[in-house]
Amino acid sequence: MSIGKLKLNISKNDLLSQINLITFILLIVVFYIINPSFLNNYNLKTLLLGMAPLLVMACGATYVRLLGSLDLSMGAVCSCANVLLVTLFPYTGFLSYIIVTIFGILTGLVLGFIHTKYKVPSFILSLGMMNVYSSIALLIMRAPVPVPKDERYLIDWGKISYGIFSLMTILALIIMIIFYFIQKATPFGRSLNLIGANERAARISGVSINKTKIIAFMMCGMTSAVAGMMLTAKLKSADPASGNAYTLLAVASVLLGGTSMTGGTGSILKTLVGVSMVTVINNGMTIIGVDAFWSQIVFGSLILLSMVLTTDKKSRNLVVK
Amino acid sequence: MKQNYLLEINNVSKNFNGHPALKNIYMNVKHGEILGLVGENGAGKSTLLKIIMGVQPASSGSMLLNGKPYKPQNPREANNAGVGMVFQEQSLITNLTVGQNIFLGDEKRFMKYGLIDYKKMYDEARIILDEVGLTDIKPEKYVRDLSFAKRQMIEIAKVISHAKSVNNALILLDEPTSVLNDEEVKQLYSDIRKLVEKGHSIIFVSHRLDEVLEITERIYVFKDAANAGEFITKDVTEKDLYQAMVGKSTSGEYYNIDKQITPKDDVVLEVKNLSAFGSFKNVSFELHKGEILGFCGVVGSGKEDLCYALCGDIKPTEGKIYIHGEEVSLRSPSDALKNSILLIPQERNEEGIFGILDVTSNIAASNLSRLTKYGIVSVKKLVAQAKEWIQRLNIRTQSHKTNLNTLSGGNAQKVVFAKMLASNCEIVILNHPTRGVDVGAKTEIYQLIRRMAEDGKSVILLGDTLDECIGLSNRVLVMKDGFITGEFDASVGNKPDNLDIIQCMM
Repeated sequence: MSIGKLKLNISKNDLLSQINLITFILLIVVFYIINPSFLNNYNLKTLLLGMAPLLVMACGATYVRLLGSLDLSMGAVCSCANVLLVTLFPYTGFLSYIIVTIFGILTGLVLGFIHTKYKVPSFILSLGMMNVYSSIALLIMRAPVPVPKDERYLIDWGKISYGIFSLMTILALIIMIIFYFIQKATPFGRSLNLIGANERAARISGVSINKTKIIAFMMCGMTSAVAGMMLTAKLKSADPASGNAYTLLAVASVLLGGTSMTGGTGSILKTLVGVSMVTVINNGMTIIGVDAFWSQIVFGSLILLSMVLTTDKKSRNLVVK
Repeated sequence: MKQNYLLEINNVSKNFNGHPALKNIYMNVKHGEILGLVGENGAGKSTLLKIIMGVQPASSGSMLLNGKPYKPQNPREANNAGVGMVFQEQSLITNLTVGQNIFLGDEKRFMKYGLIDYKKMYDEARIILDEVGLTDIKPEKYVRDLSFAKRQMIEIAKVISHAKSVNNALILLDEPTSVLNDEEVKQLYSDIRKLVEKGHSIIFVSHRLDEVLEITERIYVFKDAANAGEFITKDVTEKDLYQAMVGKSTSGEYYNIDKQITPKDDVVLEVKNLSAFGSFKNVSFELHKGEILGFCGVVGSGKEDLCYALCGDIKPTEGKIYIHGEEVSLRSPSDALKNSILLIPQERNEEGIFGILDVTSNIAASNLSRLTKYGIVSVKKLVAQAKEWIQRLNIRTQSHKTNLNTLSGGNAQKVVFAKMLASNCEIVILNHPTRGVDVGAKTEIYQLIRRMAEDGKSVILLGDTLDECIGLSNRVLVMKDGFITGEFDASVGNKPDNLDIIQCMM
């Protein structure tokens, strides 16, 4: 009887809009059935810790995605932040964290400025910048180096944890909440959606287009740098290629979460679902013993499938701005 | 036996959701004739063209082509019957050659062993080009290297290539001169005339009455979706045509003239010698508190660009704008908004609404900074504001969370008005505020404009029709070729005559 009622209340659209969440829960159930240790405390903690840098980065990527743009330089900035932080440790100590954050913001400023001033599509522009920052990271540090013993105290915060939640995870969640709040309840955040939905109408309505775009890229750059610093604490080393894989993971998380391909609709909470999915898929496949090469195929197919299910087929405008 | 008429249209009507877009239209096109079709925006010209082209079916009525019933289901069928249309936005592919363009979609005819026999294609293209008088153009030439006038002729050639099986083609030209300069227009005219001598017929649709008078032999006028007259070109003047297009004045009640107020003396906005290169020159006027100032002029008179300049979207090349006596520089619409100026744009879907966002976000779009305290927008206030305006403007929507693209034109326009009213701007520019809006919503919008003036807002109005502009305004300025050519008082009981205004427009 109650099932009949439920059927009446849930329309196809409601189901589709929640499909990500449903898939997410299904994935957890499947992994758990195959290997119950998937949900034990130890693995949960690993999961949550592994999620932290990606979640932070995906928050920034969501802002840029909402505009209908794309920042492909995120991973490279992340790597840069990683090696820069460790290089700075001997000279500036804890202050290095602030310097690297500023570096991240500056990378976003450069990207946003060129994008708005010279109208270069962000996709191409950030692809170019990606190469620049990758090289810079390699110039700073040619090969992976562990953080020296004397400076370990600077990254010891990465070890702190409360139950299954490590400090890093909590930090990432706080950043996410702040980003969620900014999107929902500041003029800047609301402008993101307006510009993504219809840039011309936003301009005519008096929204400051360039300012909003530049700030969005700056915040994106900042999150990349923060993710890079988190990686430093997590890996206890500086690796000039540490963040490279994160670009696509971040973009995939945002899209899997259901933020629109063309911008305008979506939210940080959706991104949280996307990040959780990406993390669970990666971790779960290791836990149930899928060959690492196969897991990439599964991962790629899942992203494609989710795209097919969630993209708006009526939309004529699929161009990445 | 040859039929008298190439195309006959009998009693054709078209309804959209119960609103008539065409009412009992009759029209005939002779062989070898250039026929003019004029009417104001929304008079039904485009709808008729679409029916002739098979883009939309007629709701009732019939058409005869060469005496045989003609009822195309799609543009392809129309093309095969020898009817083709040249669009305002050209449909040629510029990085293909002339010949490839002419036979686009028809390449199968030239297939040989799975490859295209280009020699044969270009040979046939040559014949067609000669047919339309383009003897000097090689079919191997790339379209991107041709002038716009020539490209238009290539489009015509394309139509004729489809009409090979029939002797005489009917070509619909929709605003063919809007992208051409004077020299190219002349070229196009002579090319068209050559075509007509060969027996083809043309329906020529244009906003520019002078052009219609120059090129056509007969002219049909549409008004309010119905026939409003048929003229022999050599017997009429621009004024006659315009009068037929505009028709009798609608009664004053319609525009709530009894509610018209006398504006205050305070000057809110003053514009001095404003010019923008290529669109308007030396425009000066004052706008008072509570005044509705109408701008009239044909399309291309510069009034639209003036709107964009006043809301900061385009940069004037010269001149000054004063608000409350202080000079301001409006570098962007957000600058204008800070100075309490907001535009309601003509193209609602492109510039007015955020279709994929909900009513709440749409209404708040120009109002974010006013709802912000200590850097934080109150979501509660946003929703409360949306609910308030939905009620006050009687917006028919499921809820404040409904996406804008599911609303009807009239309701979407009311949301745009709500956005403007919520922004509380003193100076509002209404560019065709009733475009694409049904009659019911229209009346409500008229009432709203009156109420805005009562509340002390100053309004610059570009009416969808001349009547609307005169009916609503306190004062009317007329523009022609970028200059202000006339100023009329339009206070209650002293409304200017349509004809006097038309005199200044032409």
